[in-house]
Amino acid sequence: MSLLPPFAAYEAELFQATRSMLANATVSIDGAPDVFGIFDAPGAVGSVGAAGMATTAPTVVIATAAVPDAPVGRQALVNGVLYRIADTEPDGVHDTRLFLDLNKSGVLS
Amino acid sequence: MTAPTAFMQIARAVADVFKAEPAVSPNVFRSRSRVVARQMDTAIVVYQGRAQRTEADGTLVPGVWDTQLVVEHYAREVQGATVEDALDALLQSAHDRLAEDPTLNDLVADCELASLNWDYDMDGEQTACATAVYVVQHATDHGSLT
Repeated sequence: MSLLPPFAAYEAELFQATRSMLANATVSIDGAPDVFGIFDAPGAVGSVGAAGMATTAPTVVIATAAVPDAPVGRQALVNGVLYRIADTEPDGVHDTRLFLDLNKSGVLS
Repeated sequence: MTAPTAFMQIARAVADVFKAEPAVSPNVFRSRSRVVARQMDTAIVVYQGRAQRTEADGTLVPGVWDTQLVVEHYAREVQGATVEDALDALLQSAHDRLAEDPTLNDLVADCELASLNWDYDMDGEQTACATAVYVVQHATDHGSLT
């Protein structure tokens, strides 16, 4: 039996359903079992030199319950691509947005 | 069309040095203003900085110049190499190439590295730029820019 009051229970169901409906990625952090996530990678510009370099700013939203302790610096495999977790932004309720750095070199900093 | 100035000729010559096979980078540009595209793992941009007439005993020497030439080296993290390694290799290759003939096939008297500056950024992907400023000693015809 859930101890959550009715609204919180409905809200939790809604978030879970939303993630399931919108999920476009599987996410594994440090080899943990896959969870579903909502991934995007909008274009960005690295502020280097006079011209700058085109890059992307990937993030993925997953259930907060799937985020390990001290996630920054851990490896995240998203749809088979290796990233480092650079930062996190919990929504304070059910979901957390992970800010990702592409890890092409395979070296963890 | 008028002949290019000595200053433009120098920048073009340096870009050509970097483009000579095997090219230091497949992407060598002159005065690029757009961002370096995602498809480019490395790029080099060459342009003129400040040109100053040489002084001797407090007097400007006619037609003798110290011209700054700016070389921006762009690199991003690639498979198997960190951004630091990729940038360092690009910088070293470009400098070595220029050092092979600092007279640019007798176009100038000398071309010497004066300063280096490094930028790093991480916004999803690691990118970096090392900016080298070379001082080029060269001459123009008296009263002319060529």
